[in-house]
Amino acid sequence: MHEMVVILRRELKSYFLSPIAYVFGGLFLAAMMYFGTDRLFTPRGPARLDSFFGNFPFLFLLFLPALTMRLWAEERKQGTLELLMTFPVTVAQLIAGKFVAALSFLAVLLLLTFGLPVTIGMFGELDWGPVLCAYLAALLMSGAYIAVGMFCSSLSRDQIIALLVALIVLLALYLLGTPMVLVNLGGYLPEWMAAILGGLSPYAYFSSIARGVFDTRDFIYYLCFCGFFLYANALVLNGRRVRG
Amino acid sequence: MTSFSHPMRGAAQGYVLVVILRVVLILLVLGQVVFLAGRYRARVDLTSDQLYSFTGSTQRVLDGMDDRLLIECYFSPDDKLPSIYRELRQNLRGILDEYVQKGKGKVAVQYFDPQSDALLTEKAERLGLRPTRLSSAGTDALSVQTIWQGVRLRYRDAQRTIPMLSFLQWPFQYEAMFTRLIKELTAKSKPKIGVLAFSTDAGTGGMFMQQRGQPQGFTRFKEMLKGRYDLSDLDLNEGKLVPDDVSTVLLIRPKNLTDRQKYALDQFLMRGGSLVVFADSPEVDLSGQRSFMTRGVLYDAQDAKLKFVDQLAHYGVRVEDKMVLEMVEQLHEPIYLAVPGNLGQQVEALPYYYWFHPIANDWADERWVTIAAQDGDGRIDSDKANAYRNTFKPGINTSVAILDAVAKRGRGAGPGLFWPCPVALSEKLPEGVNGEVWFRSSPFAMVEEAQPNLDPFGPDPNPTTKVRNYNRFRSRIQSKFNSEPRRQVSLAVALRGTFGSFFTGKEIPPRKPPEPKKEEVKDPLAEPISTSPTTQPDGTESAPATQPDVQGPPQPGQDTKVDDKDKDPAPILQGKPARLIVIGDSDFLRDDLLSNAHAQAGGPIADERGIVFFALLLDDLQEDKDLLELSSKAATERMLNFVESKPGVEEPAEVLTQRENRKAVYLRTANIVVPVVLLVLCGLVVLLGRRAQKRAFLSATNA
Repeated sequence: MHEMVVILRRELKSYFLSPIAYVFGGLFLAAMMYFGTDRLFTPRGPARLDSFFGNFPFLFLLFLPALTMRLWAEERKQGTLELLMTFPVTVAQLIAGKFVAALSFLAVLLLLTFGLPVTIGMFGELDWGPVLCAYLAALLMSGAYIAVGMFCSSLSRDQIIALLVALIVLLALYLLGTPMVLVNLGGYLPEWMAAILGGLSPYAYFSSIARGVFDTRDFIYYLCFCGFFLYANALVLNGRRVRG
Repeated sequence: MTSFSHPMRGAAQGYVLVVILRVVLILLVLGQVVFLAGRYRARVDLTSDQLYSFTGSTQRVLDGMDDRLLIECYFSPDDKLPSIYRELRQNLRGILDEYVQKGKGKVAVQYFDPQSDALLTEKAERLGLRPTRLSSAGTDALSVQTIWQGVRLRYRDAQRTIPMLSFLQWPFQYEAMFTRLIKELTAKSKPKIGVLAFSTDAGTGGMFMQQRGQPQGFTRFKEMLKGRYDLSDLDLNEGKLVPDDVSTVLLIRPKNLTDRQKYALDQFLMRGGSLVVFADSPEVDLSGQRSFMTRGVLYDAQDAKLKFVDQLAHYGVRVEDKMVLEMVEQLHEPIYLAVPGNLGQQVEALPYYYWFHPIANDWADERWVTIAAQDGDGRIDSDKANAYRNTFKPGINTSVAILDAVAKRGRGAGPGLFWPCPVALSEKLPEGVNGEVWFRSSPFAMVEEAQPNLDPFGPDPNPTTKVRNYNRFRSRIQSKFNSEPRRQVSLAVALRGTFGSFFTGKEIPPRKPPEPKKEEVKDPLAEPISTSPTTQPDGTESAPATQPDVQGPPQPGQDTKVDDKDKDPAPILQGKPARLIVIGDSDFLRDDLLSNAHAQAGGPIADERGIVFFALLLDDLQEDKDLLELSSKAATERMLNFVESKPGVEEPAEVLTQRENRKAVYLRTANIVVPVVLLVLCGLVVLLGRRAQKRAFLSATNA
């Protein structure tokens, strides 16, 4: 655990001491707030944040690969991965440290958006249950996206390739959760297969929690999803170690 | 030739195999975990209105079923739906799945696509299901699709259909619809409600003969609620009392009540029944061209010795023979007038003070108190303000469960009342009786004697004259209002407890014996006595029309005295706990208002909030927890209000809108800019700090 905290601290430092993280964070926040508040501040409109949180899956899909692309690719390019591997830390601790650091950075960005529900709550009777659930869902979904991004970053030395692969994988997962694609898939694939593919997408589970219902099914799905991609990440890193 | 493989390459190949095996295994394990998590799951609905949870009533209704319920869904395929409806369809399927799960094997759902087969289309049509046409904007054109979404519920031999199920936003709306139907299907008997309704008098106005003299009754609401209740007309003629199996009596627009009828109602209350009175004073002529002439409603029959108003007062209710005018225009149900405009004839919605909705607004709020306590010069009378703080109450008493539901479902507004009369609790309620006011006007209301004519436009068809008349009508009311003190008027009250009989110490009105049948004296020789059976028009045979005169003593079993059932039971003077609800309007239940018969003429139109209130009231009176719980569930209307009206300042709507828009833009900009600026500032601080550190380090190393 101590080793993981050391890695976590190192990663967090690299986020908060680098100007790129602030530029990324600023852009990400601006996009979230600009697109999310488009229909929110309607005089005498409903005091709800659905439209704000509704944009999250797509915005996360666009921005998070940019955050995760450097996690392994940069280490490999700079040759620091080999150095890291010689430290008395396991691959699992390395992965967990990097994963939690990226998630914490994102949690800080999400925290900076909290002024929005407070503003809406000041001018309307806001139902806080769904708002808190939506933040939890956002955190879980960003965890899932980060896990995918990290895995993709581990596959290549080139950050751009890592970014593109992560974008494609996340876009495919996002689309699998949209009703239109699901219905169209139903026309080509057997119903059970379309259902399984639809069940893979984090989007549907995000919507389920963000509406204000905490379901153990959704929570376990995210744990399994993150667990799978982090495990795959570990397999890739171990493979590199084996291959030298 | 001997080939040598690199030892590391072999290890890598072995590793790849292991990886593939591990990935497959972990996928299988995780897939199982997610599958099981879907089956055995716990969920917490954190929405304050429990929007995504079934009510306990659904489970109770399903548990109470003895047989299997089949839900047949005649749905067009999801891919034929416009994209915006697909998610809603999935929600609907989710709800139906939940019924299957909760039914524990007693509920089955079957899906049919009526568009796939001509026979299925025919069957769906035969069942009374109807498709609808939905339009959606595509990338290059607007397309219109025919969509089926009808449902048939079958339970034993009974069935109910929903011809076209609307696409609804919230799951509880589907739940309310389905569970209600299931309850109707599976109920062993329906509660019996007696209706004693008096039609409006026939009008005299009107251009067309068929429009004249059409009395308007109260039958439409019975049709609307017949699935849930046995709403049957109450016969209190010939001195009959309310039958024992009737638990609720609706007395709608009482008129010409005889003393005996009053006695029957009194005894019904003493028996522990629930009596709802929809009082009206006066009656306004809406027939023909809606002359809006008023006629006083005479509650009592000409030969009555007792007054119905006194009877109500005895129970603790005061009904005034006056009319309530609401001055807050936002609460009005408008009256429409066609006026010539730049683009031809335009329909304008104008405030009409006699039609309004009570709203769940806390009128004791400082804003309203301040406005009410202001004089003409804008000065606030602090004594008045203090008094108002204590006396002003919310327009809808939301502490009562059904009224809370009424307010939620009506987006804060109660039923639309048309020419209501004041109904209040007596200053001193009878012992053992508790009362509460259900609806109140705003504090900006007044009460006046009924004017003979309440038409704001006048009979002249010229639009200019109509506008002039309307302005005159408005200024008359406005000037009267300005000269009166502010007061809230109570519009509906509810009492509960043990009422004392109004007839204590009074002579019990005798039961009028049935009029003896006047038999026509016929010449026995004129017609031969027929003893042979006669043939009816439908081909069946009946007994001979005339029986031969039988002489001699009565046969065993033959009735020789007055039947016991014709005897009047002893009067009950102190009864069981009962309920009495008096509402100062009956018009919102009138057939012509519910059917929008006056829509073309500009109103009045009773919107669904009236019937929602009425249905909830019946559920409450039957103490049907299931129906009440289902009906009470509603999403709280949460609206943004960026600017408050300035107290005491009449602000034009456009100015208010401009202020609202400005504030909205300001708030949005602040919400976009502030977090970004905060983050960038943090970054700058960190950057400058690091630079300073670097400089310090360099200077230290140089030194």
